[in-house]
Amino acid sequence: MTTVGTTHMSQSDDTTTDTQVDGTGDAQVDDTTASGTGMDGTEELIEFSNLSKSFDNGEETFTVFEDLDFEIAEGSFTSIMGPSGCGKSTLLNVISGLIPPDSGEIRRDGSTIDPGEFFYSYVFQEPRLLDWLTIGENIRFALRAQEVPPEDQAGRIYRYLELVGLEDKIDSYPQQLSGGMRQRVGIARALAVDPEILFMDEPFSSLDEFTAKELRQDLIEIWEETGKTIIFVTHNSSEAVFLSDSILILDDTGELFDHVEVDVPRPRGIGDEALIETESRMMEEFFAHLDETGEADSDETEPDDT
Amino acid sequence: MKRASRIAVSILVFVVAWWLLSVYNTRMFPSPVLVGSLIIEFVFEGDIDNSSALYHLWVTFSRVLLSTGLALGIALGIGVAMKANDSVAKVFEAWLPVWMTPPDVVVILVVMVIVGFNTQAVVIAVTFAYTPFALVTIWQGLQEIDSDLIEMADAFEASRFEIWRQIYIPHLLSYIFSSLRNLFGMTWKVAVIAEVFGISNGVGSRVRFWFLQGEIPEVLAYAVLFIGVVLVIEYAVLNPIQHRAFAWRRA
Repeated sequence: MTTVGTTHMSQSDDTTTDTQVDGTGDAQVDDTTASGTGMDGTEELIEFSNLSKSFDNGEETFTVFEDLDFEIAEGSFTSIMGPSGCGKSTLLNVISGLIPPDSGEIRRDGSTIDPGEFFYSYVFQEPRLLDWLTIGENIRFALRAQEVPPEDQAGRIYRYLELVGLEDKIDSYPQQLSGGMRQRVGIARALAVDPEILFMDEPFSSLDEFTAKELRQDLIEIWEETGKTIIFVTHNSSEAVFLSDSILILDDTGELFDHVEVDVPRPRGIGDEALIETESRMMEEFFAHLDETGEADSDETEPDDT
Repeated sequence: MKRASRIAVSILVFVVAWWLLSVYNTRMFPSPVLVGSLIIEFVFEGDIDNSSALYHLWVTFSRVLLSTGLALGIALGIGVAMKANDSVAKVFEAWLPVWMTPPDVVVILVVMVIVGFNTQAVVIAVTFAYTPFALVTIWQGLQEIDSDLIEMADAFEASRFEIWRQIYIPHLLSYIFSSLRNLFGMTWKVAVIAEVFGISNGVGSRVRFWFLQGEIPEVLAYAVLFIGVVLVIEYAVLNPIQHRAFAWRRA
């Protein structure tokens, strides 16, 4: 098992590699263990070990992922990246407790916890707003669900709408807003309940690139302002390196095969050479891994002609 | 053209067409003027038995409103039970086509034989006949709920009560309204038929009386009066409520 930086991960086999990229953009493949430090210098970790999940449709069992081990630093921005269908959203749902794992353990501050014990909120791929409620009432729905005292609700609604730049839309209905604005409301709703962890499942994938770019920048500002732990699912490598402190990479079989720590200082620009270099090396690692596993698979299936 | 003008013009065209028909055959098509004068007489001076047409209208509409409310309420209750329990859903899905099949007239006659020729019989018959139609609409609405919204509510740990109040019910409102209008459009016809069969009050009873006398103008007077009130309820009551309830769609 090898670990580096704020986020640690491993697989039960030895295929895991860790890549660290420094501020100059020089990526280094590292197989040594280093001490984990969060963005603010703390070492509070959430440890996930032996997480497995499979689905049974009655005829066959489909394993999404098996025996995943990794750690996430509290207060960090961590992305889970991988191709479509690799199980990254399922992993997010398991981590958040929306789906129970088949096996595995989560430890926080050294104690085993249940996923349901996380005080989290969720930003979905689509905003999932209630069309018949105003923007303010949509956020109030989440606050009421979380039993936020009624006297605090109006203040929170305004504060978080202000944070996403939509305080003047408080009485508008969702269909009066653009797609980007609706997703901002989804973010404001998630933040308004003041979660410890914010889970984001490809929140910008359905937006046009111009809007997505703007929202990524806004998200980073919001994260820096609020200090939340963010676990972000994406299949977009540029998005992952731009946003994240750490990136966990799943391959198409659900194997967690790489961990990249993006040590590029913030504020970051989309065209930063260091980010481009990181992304490039990360993708090289990814495709090299696919080649290796592809060859291994074909070796296993090759008929013995001796 | 504004909506009020359009309604006025269509009413005018209808009355003119009616008047032309009455000129062509006065016996079959009594003139609108005659029918109008009878309406005024029945409303303000009373029918031949001194009962006001408004009394009979009220009696019929109270039966219609009660039946419609009951049918909708029962359909909602069954729909919720179907949503909550798969076994209940399977039972009603299997029996709904059977429930919708009996002809209204047969239902009315059977219920009247069992319950008697009274208001309860009319209400029971109409409710029984139209609950399945309301249930089909409500059940369709419950099945078409956006599961992503429920997942969102679960992610925020919203209670079942809040999910019903803020998601299921608002989503169902359009189906409830659609069902209400359909029911209202159908139940009054059946209620009048039931009254024709042997109830001593209500619009149907007066239609039966004047039909047995062979007096078409009086029959038409009650029919026009009744249709007028149904239209007033549609435009003056249901439309504004719907307009208000779905204001967000026009936002």
